Amino acid sequence: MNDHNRLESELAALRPHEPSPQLGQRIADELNSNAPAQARWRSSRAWWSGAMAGGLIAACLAAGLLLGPAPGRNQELAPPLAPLQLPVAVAFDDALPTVWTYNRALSRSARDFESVLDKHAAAASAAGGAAPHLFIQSDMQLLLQGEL
Amino acid sequence: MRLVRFTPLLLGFVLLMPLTATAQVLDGKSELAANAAIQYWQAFALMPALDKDQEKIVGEWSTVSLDDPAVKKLLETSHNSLMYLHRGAALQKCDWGLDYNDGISMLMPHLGKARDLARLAALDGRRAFENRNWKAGRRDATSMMVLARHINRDPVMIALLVSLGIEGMVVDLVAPYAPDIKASHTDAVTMFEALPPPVTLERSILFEKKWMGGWIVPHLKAEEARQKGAGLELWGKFLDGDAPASLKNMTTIDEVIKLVEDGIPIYDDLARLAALPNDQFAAQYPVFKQKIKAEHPLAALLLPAIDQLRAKEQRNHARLAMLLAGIAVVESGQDKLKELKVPFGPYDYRALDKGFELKSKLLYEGQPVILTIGRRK
Repeated sequence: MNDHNRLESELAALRPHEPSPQLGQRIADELNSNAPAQARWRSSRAWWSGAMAGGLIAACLAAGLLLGPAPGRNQELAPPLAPLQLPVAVAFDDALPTVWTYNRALSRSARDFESVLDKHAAAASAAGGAAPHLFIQSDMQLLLQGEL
Repeated sequence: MRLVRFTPLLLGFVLLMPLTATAQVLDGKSELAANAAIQYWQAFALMPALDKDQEKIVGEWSTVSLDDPAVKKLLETSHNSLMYLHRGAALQKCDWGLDYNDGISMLMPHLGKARDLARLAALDGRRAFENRNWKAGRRDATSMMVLARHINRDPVMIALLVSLGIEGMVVDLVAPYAPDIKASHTDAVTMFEALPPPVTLERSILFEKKWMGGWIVPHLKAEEARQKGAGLELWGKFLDGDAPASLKNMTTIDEVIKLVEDGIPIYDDLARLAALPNDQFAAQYPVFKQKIKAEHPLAALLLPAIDQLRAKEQRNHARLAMLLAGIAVVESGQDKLKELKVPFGPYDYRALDKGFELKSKLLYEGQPVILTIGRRK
């Protein structure tokens, strides 16, 4: 065996020292102190992503509002919008609280007028049903879960 | 580094900023909420849906027993609604958002609701006065008066009528308790003069000329242009069973349009008559009414009964003035009546068991308008 082979044999026999208990403890301590920082980094990245997404959505909405629909798009597929002017027939519908309905009632008698007022107020109450639900802070959870 | 992290969030907020421009300011109130109608509509939304028994209670608010459990329950469930009434009454501006271009089709759903709200407030006020809670009762009465004037903000005749009805409720609420409340006459007059001013019948008539009478011809023409014959069909809808045959038998839309256009100046005559002193009105109006009925059959159809409206307006005016005079008498004695300058006066005084009666010179349906101050034994 030459000197080179002996050196090689010696090197092959070398083994690392077992880590001391103190080293293990120091590594554990280091890992525990970095966990919040890592969590913050993950949270920060989620926040960043959310904010960017929100900003992009807002930008798209603004662009959509400003630029409007492109010409030639199939608008006939959209449902018709409710008219902004009252149809003439509304005037003559006694079930509705129109100027004409009240005037005709008044021309018959003051009592008729009062009755029609009562009728319309009662109809509005009946249509509305019971008093509306008053949303309070604790309802927020229900809203988020889609319960309402 | 931390500022860099905030940058995308800031970017998002900047893009959303126009949407937040109308957010509430730091004190929790928005300028846009300073429209009393918004407060009133919240009051309407929170009013309990009245069943038949409750409708009877509010209809009889001045006489129903306050010890009735149903009455107590109704008032408990009306608490939030009345809160919004007071909030609305504290505001100067009131805009119901009516579009006068809707003409005779204009919907006025707030009228019936306002009347019910006023009745609830009157019931609440009566309970407060019975419990000698003068402050709460006076707040109810004041809020009702302001609501009445806010209803009248739109010079539509039917709004004027509802407004007069609510003001009448205020008189009926306060008069029985005036001797116990012992309010200061000066304070009462100051409060009254601070109310939003009423719209007069004269102004209502001219408003109706422009927005109601003036609505008809353009819509007849538009209907006829849309489809031949539709204009006459629309005209038919104006005519009820009592309409004169001469109106029902019109065969061309041009005839109808001429008839309507010829009738529009009558509104000006009515406005002039409505503003006359009583003796002149009483002399001229019956003659005018007969003449119009013969020459303009449409007038009877379109024009409201001005004489009835005028009579109600004057009666209301007299009763409010008598209530204020009654407060002065409670404070300073009946001789105070000699010093007051009052409409339809001077008022005659008559002592009662628990109060007194004031009688004006105004006649309503043939009888003098009288107000009882205090409660009969």
